Amino acid sequence: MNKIVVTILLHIICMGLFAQDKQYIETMKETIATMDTATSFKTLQQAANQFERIGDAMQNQWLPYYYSAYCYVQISYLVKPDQLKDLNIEKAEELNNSADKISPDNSEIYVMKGFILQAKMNIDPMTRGFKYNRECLGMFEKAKVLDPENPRSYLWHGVNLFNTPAFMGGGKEKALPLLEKAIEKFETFHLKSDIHPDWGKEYAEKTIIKCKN
Amino acid sequence: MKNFFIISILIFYYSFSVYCQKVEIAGKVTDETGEPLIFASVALKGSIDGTTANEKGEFSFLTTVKGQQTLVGSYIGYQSCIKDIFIEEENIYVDLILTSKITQFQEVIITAGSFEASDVKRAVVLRSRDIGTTAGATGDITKAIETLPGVQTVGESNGLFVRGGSGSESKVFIDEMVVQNPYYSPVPDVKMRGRFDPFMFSGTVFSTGGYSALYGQALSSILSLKSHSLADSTNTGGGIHAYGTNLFHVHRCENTSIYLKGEYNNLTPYNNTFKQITEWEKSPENIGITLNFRHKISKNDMFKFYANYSRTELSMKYNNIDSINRESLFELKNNDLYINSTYKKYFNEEKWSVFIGTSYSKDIDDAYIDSTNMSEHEELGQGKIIITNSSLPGMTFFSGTEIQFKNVVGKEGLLTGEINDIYTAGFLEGNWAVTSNIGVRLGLRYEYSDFLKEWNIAPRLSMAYKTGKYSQVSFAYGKFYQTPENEFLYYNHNLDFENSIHYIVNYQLMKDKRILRIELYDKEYRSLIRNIPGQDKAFNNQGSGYARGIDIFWRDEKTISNADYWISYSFLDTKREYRDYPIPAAPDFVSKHNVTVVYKHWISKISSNVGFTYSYSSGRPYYNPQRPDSEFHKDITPAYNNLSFNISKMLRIFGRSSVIYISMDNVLGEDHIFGYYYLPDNAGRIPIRPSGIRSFFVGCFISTY
Repeated sequence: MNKIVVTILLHIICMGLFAQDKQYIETMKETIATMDTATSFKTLQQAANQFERIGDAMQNQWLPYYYSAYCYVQISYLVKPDQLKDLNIEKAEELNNSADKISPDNSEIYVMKGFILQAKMNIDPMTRGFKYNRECLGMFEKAKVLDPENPRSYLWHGVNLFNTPAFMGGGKEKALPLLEKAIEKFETFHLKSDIHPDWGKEYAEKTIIKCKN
Repeated sequence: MKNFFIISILIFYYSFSVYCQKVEIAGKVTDETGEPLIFASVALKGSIDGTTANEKGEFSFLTTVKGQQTLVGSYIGYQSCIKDIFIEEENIYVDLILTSKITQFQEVIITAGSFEASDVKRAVVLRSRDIGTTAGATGDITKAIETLPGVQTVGESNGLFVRGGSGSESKVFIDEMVVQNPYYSPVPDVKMRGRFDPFMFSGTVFSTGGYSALYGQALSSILSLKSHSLADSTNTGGGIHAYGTNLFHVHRCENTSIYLKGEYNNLTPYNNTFKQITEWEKSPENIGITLNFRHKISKNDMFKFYANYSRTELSMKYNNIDSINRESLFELKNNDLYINSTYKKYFNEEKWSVFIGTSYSKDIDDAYIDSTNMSEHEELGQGKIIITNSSLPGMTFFSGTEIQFKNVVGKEGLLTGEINDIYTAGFLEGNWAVTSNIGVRLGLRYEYSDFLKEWNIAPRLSMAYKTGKYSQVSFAYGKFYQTPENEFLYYNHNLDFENSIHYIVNYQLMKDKRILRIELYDKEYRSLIRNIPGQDKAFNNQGSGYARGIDIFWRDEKTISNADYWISYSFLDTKREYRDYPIPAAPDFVSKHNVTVVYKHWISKISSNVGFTYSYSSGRPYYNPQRPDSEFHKDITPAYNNLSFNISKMLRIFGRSSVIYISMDNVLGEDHIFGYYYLPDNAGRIPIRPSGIRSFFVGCFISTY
């Protein structure tokens, strides 16, 4: 009898855990879909909020915070004035740092760090370019070391050079090989799960076209 | 037993269904004023349940969670609102009211009298790089500041002339420490550059009046420069330009950076190429060494050390109506040393901070006029301590003391004057954000001069009120004291501080990269130095005066793409009865109307920044001895028109980022006359002119970046 009770109880607990995990993945998938198809500030903010809630509830998953940070960077490009852009970027930094604490030395999180710095520079490139560009490139370099197969580190390094004027050491010619390498890595990139980062390929292709024109 | 098992399963399913019964939680998220916070986040702590508010700030969501729970509302720039709720079976309605964190961009900032140039996030009137890129400024901080309203362009004397104040009424501070000799030593009728490289600083506060109790000993204005913290990266660079050459190296380690710069300037080739009005016997030649050391001891404290040594030599002939030849030879050898070291530490989650600063300067001017010794040796040691507390929400207090030891020895032929002063001051100031719309700053400063044997208490008060999302009105009042200039103190020991009272009302509108500032001011001068008639080198404090006017500033970075321009206009009405003025009159360094237009355009095709600066000043009064005393300063010089042009091209030289810089001052070749010297016996007059009609600057700067 006792055995039966124990078995049932174990079964229920396992079911619960399994259900929770399944629910996590399902919710993440849904939210990623919301984010990927977002065309407005509203949907991006909804996705950002949802990711942050998931992150707070789960406590040990880096992906929700990482995606939430990604949403805030995108929001920063949509809002005005500059001070509000900065507040959104600050929020993105905070969230990405939370992700970094949960999963240290994660190549994707380092790409996000660079991506955030890039957004920060774009607000006032003339003033901030000198200050943040080295740090930004450093993040992409570190991301490459942590995972040489991560296509996004090559992509954003390339985009950075594409946007940097030639007199500062950037330019199309320098950007192109990196972008092409990113595409190469995208082709062979092995996705760890349905909810792991899988973005940027389209942007890489678009930037390559711009480089060649 | 079997029954028990079935019952327990039934109970389990029953409770599970109860558990699954969903409850709706709804409400509205607003700020303190009831404004909805659109798309705010609402979450049940510890669960994934929650939602995003809609366009009206309203939210609703379903949850299966039961019991004592915490509902959290959050929004960017606001403090999260946390509400405890108890979830049973009924739906819950709860409003969440969030308070705004006083983030820098919403905070009311007192703008009366002050212009801030910095790289911080907050919206500012000027950015640090503006100083380096303004046409006509050629990298001189003072000249860039002269494009702001309230500042008079005075082409023949050192210093910032602010709102009817003379150049000596403005003081320069580096990291809160006063700089005794911020400009190259004065030369008759020639304006000298500032000694400091504008790229050393990340923040500049220029105040045209009503400034904080932190600053004293300036009747009109202060210019406070904040040096960089750690250098961004290791870098080597240098430049060669029309006046000389320089070389620098910065080394950056994890928490330390060292900067070393050497420069050599010699104007001989330039003065030989371009015809000069001034007759140079020996064109200015100068060497300078700068050392900068920064160490971040921990996350919360920073040590800065800065030292600059420079040596300048020159000699020239100048108009001297007192001399028999009506011309004198002026020779100068200057050695100047300036050391500044500061330490700042934050405690208790940055709620407390301590600042300790010391500085030392020694300036030796060995000057001769036709071999008459006119030397001046100045030495100043300074210490300052500031303690800041911001543990109360919306409030910041600071208090501190400072001490200055000053020794000056001045020669005039066989006469020697000496000043030994110990100056002490204490100050206390509080900043209070009363509401998110109202800010108040109240300060008090106490000063004592051992040389004058006089003390004073100077109150300072400013207020700001946000009249709208983008606009605000501020008001400032303050009393300011200054020890009279050295020349009056050498032979008089019974003088008192000179003083001034400022009243300023300011309106500022800042929206979408456009700024409009209008400022009205009234300044009363009291206890100014006055010559005692009939006695040589005898003075009292019975002078007085006033200055009032309006300053208007408009900057627009939006209308024309890739371009940025600003326009400054100042109207000034001022009179003084001081020094040897027989009647109250406008001083010879002021003009009634001043207009400056600065335009900058970035042309990405040629990766160049092109700009011009146009300044106009209506004529200035001058002394005409042929008029009776009752018509003192009645005559006015011709108006001053100056158009400067500059172009800076960014490029790569040897694969390194470089800038080629070309600028030209007074492109139209206008004849600038600052005043006249009248010769005795109606023998005519000699106009005072700048050292050259036009001035050029060409330079190339390379860094390893």
